[in-house]
This record gives sequence, C-alpha cells and structure tokens, in this order.
Amino acid sequence: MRTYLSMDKINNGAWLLIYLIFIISPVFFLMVETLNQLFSGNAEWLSLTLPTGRRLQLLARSTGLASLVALGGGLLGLLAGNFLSNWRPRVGSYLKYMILVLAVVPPYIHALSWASAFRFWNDFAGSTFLPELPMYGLFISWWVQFMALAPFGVGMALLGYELVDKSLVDAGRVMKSDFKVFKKVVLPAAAPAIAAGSAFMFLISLMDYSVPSLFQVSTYSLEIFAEYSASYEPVRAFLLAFPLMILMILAASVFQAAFRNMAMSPKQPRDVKPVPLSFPPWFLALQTLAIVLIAFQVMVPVISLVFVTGSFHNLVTPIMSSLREISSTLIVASGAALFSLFLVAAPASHVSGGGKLNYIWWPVLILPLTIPAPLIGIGLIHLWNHDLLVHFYRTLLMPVLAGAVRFVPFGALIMLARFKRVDTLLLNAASVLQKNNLHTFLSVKLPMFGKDFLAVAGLIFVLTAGELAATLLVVPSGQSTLTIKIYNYMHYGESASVAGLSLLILAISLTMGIAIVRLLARERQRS
Amino acid sequence: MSYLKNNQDGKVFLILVLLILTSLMLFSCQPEDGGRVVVYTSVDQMFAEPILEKFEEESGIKVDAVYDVEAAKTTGLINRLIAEKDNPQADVFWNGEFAQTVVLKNQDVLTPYESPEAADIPDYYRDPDGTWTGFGGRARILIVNQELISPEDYPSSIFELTKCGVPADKIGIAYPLFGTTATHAAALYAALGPDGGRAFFEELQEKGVRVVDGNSVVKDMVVSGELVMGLTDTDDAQLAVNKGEPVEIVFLDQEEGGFGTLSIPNSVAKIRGGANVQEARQLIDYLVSEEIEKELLEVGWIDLMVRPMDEDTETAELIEMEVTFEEIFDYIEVAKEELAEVFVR
Repeated sequence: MRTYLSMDKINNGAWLLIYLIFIISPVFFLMVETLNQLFSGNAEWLSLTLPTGRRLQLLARSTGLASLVALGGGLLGLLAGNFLSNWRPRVGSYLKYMILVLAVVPPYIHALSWASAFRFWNDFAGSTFLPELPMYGLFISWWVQFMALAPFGVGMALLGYELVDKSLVDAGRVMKSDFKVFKKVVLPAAAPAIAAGSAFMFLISLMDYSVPSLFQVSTYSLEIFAEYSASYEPVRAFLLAFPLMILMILAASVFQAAFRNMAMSPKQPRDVKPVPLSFPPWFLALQTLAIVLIAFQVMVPVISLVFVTGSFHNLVTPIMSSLREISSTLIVASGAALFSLFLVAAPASHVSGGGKLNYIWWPVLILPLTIPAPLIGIGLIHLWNHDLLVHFYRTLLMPVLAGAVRFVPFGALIMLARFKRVDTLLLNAASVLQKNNLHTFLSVKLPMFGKDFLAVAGLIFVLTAGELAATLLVVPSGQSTLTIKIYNYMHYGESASVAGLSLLILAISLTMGIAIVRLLARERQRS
Repeated sequence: MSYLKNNQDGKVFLILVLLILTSLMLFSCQPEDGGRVVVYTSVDQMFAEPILEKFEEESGIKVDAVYDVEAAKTTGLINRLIAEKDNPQADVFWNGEFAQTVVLKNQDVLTPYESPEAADIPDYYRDPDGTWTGFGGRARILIVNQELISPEDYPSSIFELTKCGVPADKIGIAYPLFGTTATHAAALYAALGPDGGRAFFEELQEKGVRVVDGNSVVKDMVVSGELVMGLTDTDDAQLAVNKGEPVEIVFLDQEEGGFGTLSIPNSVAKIRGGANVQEARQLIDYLVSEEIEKELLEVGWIDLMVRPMDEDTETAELIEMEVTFEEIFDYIEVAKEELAEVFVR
C-alpha cells in the first residue's frame, strides 16, 4: 500500500512538474530576467513597483472600478443564480447555462453594442422628460464591463446554488419561513461560489484597459501598456504590474478560500427533487429585475450583432473568407482545452491534499493569472524560440500554449473545488490497483470527474478562442486566428463582417455548450 | 486497459486526443526553408495581403506573413521581433511608419540592405546606414463629418482645432502614446520645441478633447456622428470615404508658407539573421519598387509618393512639416513619457 501511494505521489509530482514547465515557466523567465536587470545596473527600476502620485490615483481608480464590477456581478449572481437554479422547464434546463456562452464575445463587441443601445436610449429620451445616459466616463465603463463579465458571475453563482444540499433546505423549511431558510441555509452555502465569481470578474476587470479607454477612462493597466510601448522593456512592464499582481493574488486568495468553503458544503443526494422556495414580494421584485438585466445582457449584443450583420450574405461572405482562421481557432482552442484536461488536475490535487507550504504553492500556481497577457507571450518566445525547440515554436502549439498558460490556472481553481468534495479513500484504492497513471486517469478519474473536466475544458476552449494579446505574439507566420481577423475587420470599420464572425463564434460556443450539457445530462441518467 | 476495450467514452476520448494532436501537427506543417520568405507587417492586412499574394504569384516564392492589429497598441510585432532577436523567425519587416523601424535598428534587430529598386528614392527617405528604406507617405489629416459642420467652419490649422467653434468634446484624437499618433506627437515636439509640444497637448487635454483608443476609433466615431471631427491617418479616413460615408478629408496647415502636416512613410527592412536571405532581398526589391508604390497609392494606403512622379500619377500636393526623421525619433521617447502623464490620469 505504501509503495503504491508513493508511486501515486511520484506521478502527481511528475504532473506538477509538467504543469510548472508548461504553465508557470514563462512567469519564471520574467522573474529571472527581472533579477538579472536589477543586478545589472538597473536597480532604480525597482521604484516602478511602488506607485505614487498619478500612478497611485490610477491604481485606486482601477481597483475601484474592478471592485464595483465584481460587486455588481456578485449581486446579479446572488439574485439571478437562485432563480435560474430552480428553473426547470425542459428548454430552460439548457438555456440557463447558455448565459455563459456570451462570455466568448469580445468585450469590445459588448462595448460597441451597449454604446449603440445608450445612443438609442438618448435619442428616445431627448424627446421626452427622461434623463439621458452618459456616453463616456466611469458609469458606462463600469456598465459595459459589468455586462461583458456577468456570465462569469452568474455562472459561478448558478454552480453554487446547484451544489446546495436540498435535503438541508427541506429540513429547514419545516422549522422556519422560506426566506429565513434562504438567508440561513442556502445563501451561506452558495456565497463562496458567488464570491468566487465576483473575484474572477475583479481579476479580469483589473487587467482590462480596452473598455475603459474606449470610454475615456484611464486605468493602471493602460499605464503598463504605455510604459511597455515607450521602453520596449518587458521587465519594466513586469515591475509596473507588480501592484496589480499583489491585488490579484489577494483576490485569488478570496477565490480559493471561497472554493475551500464551498468544498466543505455537504454532498447533494441525487434523488432529491427540491421544491422552489417562496420569497417575499420585494425579493421577488429584485429577482425579476436581475432576470430582466440578464435578458438585456444577452439580447443587446445578440440583437446588435444580428442587426449589424444585416443579411445572410453578410454572414456567409466573411465566414467563407475565414475558413482557414476558423480551422486554426478550432484547433488552437481544442488543443488548449485538451492541455487543460491533463494539467488542471495536478495543481488542484496537490493543493487539495493540504500541507504546510500551501500558502506558498497557491500563489505560485496561479501566477499566470496575474501577468499582463503580452508578457506571457514574450516569456513563451524566450523559452521556446531556441534551435532545439524551434520546430515546435513554428507551429500552432504556441498559441495553444498561450491559451493554456493564461487560462489553465483558472481551470485548476475550479478543479480544486471538485477535488475537495471527493472521498480520497476511493482514489487511494484505485491507485493500489492501477497498472499505471493513465489507467487510473481513464478508468477512475475520468468517469468520476468527467463532467468537471468537460466543463473546465469547455471554459478554456471559449476563453482561448477569444484570446488576442498573447496569441498575436506567438502565432506562427502564415497563420491567424478568428479573433485576430475580427480585430482586423474592426479596424477597417467592416462592422457587418465583425458582427457576422462574432455570431459564428457565438454559434460554435453555443454548440459546445449544448454538447457539454447533453453529456452531463447523459451521465446523470447513467448514474 | 480493460476500460478502453469496454467503455465507449474512453475510445471517444482517445480518438479526440489523437485527432487534435494530428490536426495540430498537420496544420502546422511548413515547407523547408528556401522558396519561402517570412514577413512581419504592421500595414493593414487588407492592403498588404493582395500585394504579398501578387509577389507570390510573380516570384513563385511562398510568403508567410504575420499581421499586427491596432488593438495590440504597439506591443505586438515590434516586441516580438525584439524578443526573437537571438533566433530570428522573420526575414523582412514592412512597417506602416518609420519610428519603430528605427527602434529595431537601435536594438540591432536589422541588417543593412540597399535595394537597387530604391535607387530613385531620395536619400532623405533612406537610412544612412542602409538598414531601412522609406516609401509611400501617409499624411496625418483631419476627418470631418460633413453633416455636422459646414466647410466654411472647417479649421485650417491644427492649432485652430479647439478654436473653430466645435465643442472640444466633439473633437477626437487617438492616445498620442501609440502608433502614428505618437509619431505625430514627436514631430510636433520637434517642430515646436519640447515645451511647445507639451503645451499643445496640455491645451487639448484641458479643453476636454476626446482621447480614444485608436485612429480607426476616431474615424468610426466621426462617421457615426458621435464626434464632429478628429485627427487620424489618411488610410483610415479613405476607407470611410470609399464606403460613401458623409465624411471629408482635410489637410491642415496647407497655406503657402504654412506649418504643414506630417507625412509618415512606410519603411521596409531586412531582419538580421533571417533564414531566407535571397528571398528577403527579392521581397524588399518588390515592395520598394515604383510599381508597388503606385499600387499602394491607388488602393488608398498612401497618399504621397516619395520618388519623382510621372505626369500620369495623381497624388496629393502636400506641404509637409519641416522636421527630419532623426529629429522626430529623438523626441519619441520623451513625448511618450510626458504625454502619458498628461493623458493617462
């Protein structure tokens, strides 16, 4: 038994090593390069890590904006997630997950759609007594980021509500009113997932300069790009990003702590069919408002895209001229999703096993989430563009790695939550009987965590398909991706083509989403 | 492996893995070096791609291109070329402007190549060390929405932008920290002196001129009517004009003896250590040829030819700002640093 467990530890260690080599090494490269620069006469660059004056103001504004986006996402998730988790119509059981699909639409498209919607409102309000909406400034920046990232907040909340033990809820209803049960049982159990969704929205918002700058709001991440653009020194940009890294590690710690709490929530028996809770009218009104918001969140970009596309011809023409980019994107996104299947488990398994050094391991494992995307690309170039590896460097493996480095740590966070809910004795038993690690993976872990792996792979597929900044730095010559093409069309003002290709990405993601939901449903029936 | 024999999911999973890995390898197969050239270009794909395809047809040399996108904010191809310096993957860099080509020269990314096809290009547009060749100028212009302002109210000078009666928040510029707007800012620093340059932009900022994400965004916002006018490049504005949008291109400061406007040439350079030496030379010869300069003029990517023109060629007659490329480059870094303080706040 001891020997088998030791072998299991060695296997886990090997996968962890692979994770460090493929996912963390670009960040290690930047760290080593930074030390090299600091000890080579550029020690004064260290002052970049301490924002003062204007930079401090920018950091405060960015943090405030990201916090408000996260707060909005948390509230929306709290209110709408509960409604959606109880939504049982046949079509609804699929539809409620479809909100996640909107995450694939680039924030820039959300921004343009909402700017059009605001303009439409202002034209209408101009002829009435209704107030006009600001077309630039903090409010519209916040609103667009909130709407663009809402799928993450609502999706995580939905997951949290669905993991609540319904038998506990039914037991509570015998003693107290439904709303009290919601406050005392349901909400505390789902709150960690809601907080986790908010934390992820905070992370993404903090790193985004494109939406705020479109509405004339300067952020700290724009300052990083300005510095990089002026100095061409990745180390200076890396040092300038240090305060963001600290903030994001703090946010990720909340995320991890939230998952830890969620992981402690009791396992839900499969055969319990819960009866939806009854809420007081004021709460129902707030829930209705949240659902209306979600409806707008989905409808505004979709209607705007359909309207701008205009005709079937405008939909088909850019698609036919982008077949190569579509193929590349499918391969790259699938490759990153495949990578995630192998790599998300090791760090999650390691951290979920406990240990005194977890407080060090955890920030290390999620470091790539805290690094500006172009710096990930630069790190990958330095690591892979050598004679020995150049045949890999010149392939689509590089954008696959770019997507994996950027998003696998997020997948690892999700898997961590799942692993903490599993009886480790089962895995130990499997490891005693295993022929090799692949055997355990295929015969035990894949069936056991299949739906979680699928969900994570689907998420990483969607995020990688929309990745731009790191992909652009490593895409092989003669190749391109759909997102690069969309941004090019955007530059030319080819709105119909942009809208057509965005609808295509939506359709692909929707198909992926439906396939995953159907697979999960089939597995549920089998078990 | 009994699971694999019995379980359909395991088979599906393995087939999926093999399919993706095979696709990855097949899709990434590239021909052996030779008969191939790799070009990195910041020129808009819609203008560059047809030219490169034509070169492929005429020369039989396969061109593998990497295109930049405006959204990457100058952190794209230039930084990729610098990062790849020790093991270069590109053979040729074709840039839509010149300042960042000089950055690459200073970073030792480029190697000299003086094309015989560039013999009739004035020395002014050629690097004295032969590392890059300039051709085809793009002017910085004002794009105006004709439905929102009458021609008699158009400003005639860049210094009248905020004095022509149009509210400042209806006038747009791109962030002067990136791309050609940064080059334009450096040119103004060079022409007006650093204090004058900074004062010009501080006035724009204080009066509330809209600073947006890029030159194409300026164009889009003028087209949509959200802005009345804005500074951008000719190629962006020309796209809107060609599509029949209600916009007009205005060349500023064109009166006799006037301040002039900035014309930014394309630049092309050979990458040091690029694998395909002969093919790279052929492509550079092709790009700097008079035929291609005329073609770029016709499609609207440039509006000025840098070489003496024949009578048949129609081109803008432009009064250019009296600053040299060296002077502009000398101010790039200081202008970016100062203007970050002015606009990113």
